[in-house]
Amino acid sequence: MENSLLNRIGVPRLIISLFLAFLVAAAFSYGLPMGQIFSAMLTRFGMNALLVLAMIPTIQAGAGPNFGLPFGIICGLVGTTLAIELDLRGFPALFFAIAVSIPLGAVAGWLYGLLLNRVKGQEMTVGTYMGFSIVSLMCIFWLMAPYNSPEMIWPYGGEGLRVTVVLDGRMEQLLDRFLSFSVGSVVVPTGLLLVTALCCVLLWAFLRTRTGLAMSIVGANPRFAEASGLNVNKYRMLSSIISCAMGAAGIVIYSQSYGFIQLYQAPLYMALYSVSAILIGGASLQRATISQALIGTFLFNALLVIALPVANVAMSSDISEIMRVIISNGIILYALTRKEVGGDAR
Amino acid sequence: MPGEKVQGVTLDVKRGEILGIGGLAGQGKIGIANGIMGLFPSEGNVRKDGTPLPLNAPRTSLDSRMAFVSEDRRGTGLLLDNSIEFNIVATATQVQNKFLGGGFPSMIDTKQVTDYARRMIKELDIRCTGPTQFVRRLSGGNQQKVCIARAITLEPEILFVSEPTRGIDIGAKKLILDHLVKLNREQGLTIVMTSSELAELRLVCDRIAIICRGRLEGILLPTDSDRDFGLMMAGEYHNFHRKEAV
Amino acid sequence: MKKFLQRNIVPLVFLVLCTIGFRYSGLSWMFFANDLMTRLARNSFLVISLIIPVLAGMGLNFGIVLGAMAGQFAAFITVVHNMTGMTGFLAACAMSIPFAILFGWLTGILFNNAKGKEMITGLILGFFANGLYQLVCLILVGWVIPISNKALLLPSGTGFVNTIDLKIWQYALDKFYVLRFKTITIPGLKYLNNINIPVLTLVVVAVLCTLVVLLFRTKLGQDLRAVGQNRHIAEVAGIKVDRVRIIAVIFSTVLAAWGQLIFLQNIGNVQVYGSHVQVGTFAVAALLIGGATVSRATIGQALLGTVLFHALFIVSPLAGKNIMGSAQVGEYFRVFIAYGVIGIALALHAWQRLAKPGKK
Repeated sequence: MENSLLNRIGVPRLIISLFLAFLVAAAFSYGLPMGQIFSAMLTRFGMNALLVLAMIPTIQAGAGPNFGLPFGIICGLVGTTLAIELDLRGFPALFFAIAVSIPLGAVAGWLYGLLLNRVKGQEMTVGTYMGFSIVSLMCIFWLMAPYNSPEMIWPYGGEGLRVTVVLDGRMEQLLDRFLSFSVGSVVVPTGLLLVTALCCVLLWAFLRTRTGLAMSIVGANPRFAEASGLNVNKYRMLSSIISCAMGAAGIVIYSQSYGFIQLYQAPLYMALYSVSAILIGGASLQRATISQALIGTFLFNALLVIALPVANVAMSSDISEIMRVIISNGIILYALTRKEVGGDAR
Repeated sequence: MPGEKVQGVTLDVKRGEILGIGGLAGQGKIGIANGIMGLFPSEGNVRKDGTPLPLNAPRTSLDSRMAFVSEDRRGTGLLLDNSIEFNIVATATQVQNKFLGGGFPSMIDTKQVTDYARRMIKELDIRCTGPTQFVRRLSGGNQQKVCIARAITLEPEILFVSEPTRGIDIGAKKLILDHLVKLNREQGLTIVMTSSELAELRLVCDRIAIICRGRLEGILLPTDSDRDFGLMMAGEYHNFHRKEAV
Repeated sequence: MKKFLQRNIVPLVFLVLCTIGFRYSGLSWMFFANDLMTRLARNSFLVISLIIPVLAGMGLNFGIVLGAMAGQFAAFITVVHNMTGMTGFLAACAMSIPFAILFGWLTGILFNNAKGKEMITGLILGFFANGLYQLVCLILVGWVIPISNKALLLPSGTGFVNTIDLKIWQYALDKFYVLRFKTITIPGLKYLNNINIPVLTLVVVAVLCTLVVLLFRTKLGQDLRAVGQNRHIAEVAGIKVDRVRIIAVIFSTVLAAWGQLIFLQNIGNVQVYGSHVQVGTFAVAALLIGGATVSRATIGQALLGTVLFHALFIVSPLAGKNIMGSAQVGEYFRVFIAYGVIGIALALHAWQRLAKPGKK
């Protein structure tokens, strides 16, 4: 029973895969440009993958999905805006942004980790609201920050930075176009996918090192970890640092692919979308693997990509945004109320 | 130990012996091993081969070649939702850098782990579908064997075993006790075994310390009379013998 | 004295913040006080609706967003059927009850499946329900659910317009009887002159407060408290814990629905896709600013918190402009305060709970 096919795939994954298949079929029958749609799916997958992978460290270390991801995201935004302020272009801009973002994200993750270690068991609620407050605090920063680049401030007066900053000609789709090629009408964003693959390999390798194993042990059973001489808080802290640093780098990659930096309130719900993506992939609040993150990212984003044109043809276009809200939050609710296999260990 | 406290215990453990720690349930006997291994706050002096050991530091206890099979099997002893093989090697990867391949970064060597786990499964007769089965699915006795396998993977000089047969069927019980004795006889492993079951202590131990009301009441040989064991466990041994002397 | 400070540190800090903000905002006392009175009247009900789940040990019920939705559904019905004045308002209150009970019941079941994680569940539930709400109001209305009054629908014929006018029963409570002192000469109370006091609204709030107090004197109220203090002991004592918890959520949801209606009758229109979204966050922030915690809340704290939170709301844009040279800063500052207060309160609560067993 417990090894039945349905159980292995998981109900939500099954439903969403079927729904996706249905939408693909519908798109075909409406004669929508499938090449574009598949290209968009690949791009959206690459854009979001790192942000979703960022969930793995904290889940593995037992701190739950990182609802405090905005801590990392804002660091990435700071890095990217700095690159523009310094008038960098092309790969130097991208590398500079990432190089600045990662240490900033690590510091933010360290601070967030200090908090996390004091609120064990309530990480999700506290993380969500701390994430919200840091995003609104950063809104004040974006208003007051002494940036001068004409691309970022409002053209005629107005205070602070623009809500969306265009990356056109700086690093817009830099990775997406790198070594990009077409199969039929499907454009493959090679560079983006390569970076994603690289991140996966690095994370995979890390999780198998002694430190990575220690993190999993801490998450699987803190008391076992203590009895094995491990400092539980240290590894939870480490997971938070890695996760936020990944979030910081993740938003840079996201922005270059998207072609815009979204400031102010935009990062508010980004953590929720990443959380739901990994849960759709079959992860639980306690265990997550890289393949679950990738499958989840693909399913979630493919669904969003294809829902919009299909909905446009079939009914009102708002439905795809509504669907995103319902699916992403629905899957989190499902995970929250699911009786974890063997929650009796406590 | 929450709810159980042990005080003023002075005990010598001799190399190569099996020392039993017995007494009625709730008298504080499991505090000793947990305290020495640094799992619960404790005070005092612990010396191993004459070297003093810092207390409340699990890592130093492990580094001093001591290993512990906890009485809290499911809570402290196991990673229930991990494979048998990972349970067996987990502590050793952390404390002794075992099973980590060379190269950079140094990653866990899955082949070595699986081979080793297979050997352990055979040696301890762990009934399972294979080394990758989750520990949660095993019976209590087989889970206990995994715990013991994990402890001896650390190649300890002293092995603390607490309540090794609690909640385990008779067949597995015998197997576990026999294996402990075998480790002791063949490899000279010093074992400190805490148990509420006097019968099994008398079966395998060389000496048995009895803990009563949080204190060491006395040390008996397995061959001593039932009467002495009974008196000690009730905490009346000294009273009784004083009276007799009068 | 020290104890008083310690216990009331949060409200005191906000009192200081508000005073500073008021000084720098340059607002006249009359404008400020009138605005504050209006906001107190229209928001306190929503804040009070949070108390019951807190005392039942379920933490801050972010799920009151669903109550607000129930209220709005009822409001839409009265608009479609053109029920005006006090009748319209009372009809809306009555019609919101079945919606709110249904939503509360479902929320309660969900919470019972996520014990110990009620707050995050409530929060996510709020987002989720908002998705369903949009599905109903934007897609189903006019398509599946027939609406006779076409003026309420978007040009395409499906979905409500963004703003629905509630002039038909605006101020039904507030303007029922407005008291305005003019001639108080007693020095301390002089400040009350020229403030419009919506008597009936305040009476309704007062009645509600009394009812909540009385509720906790009944058998059910005692059960609620017992469940709040220790679920397991309550279960052993023969209390049907799950049932009591569901009842607590239903109460909270119904009250939130009415709270939203009181809010709407003051505002005079519904932002169909926006009015309810922040209800949970703002109400929770207000309650916490009043000095409540995740496990303890009183009516006094709810009222005090509403006053302080909204005082900050009134003064912060202008204060922000005068101090920082930008009204936007003030706007963002108050959003930050709302989120930050909740975040810190939740963190402190988790922290204390973790620290307690360590001391033993």
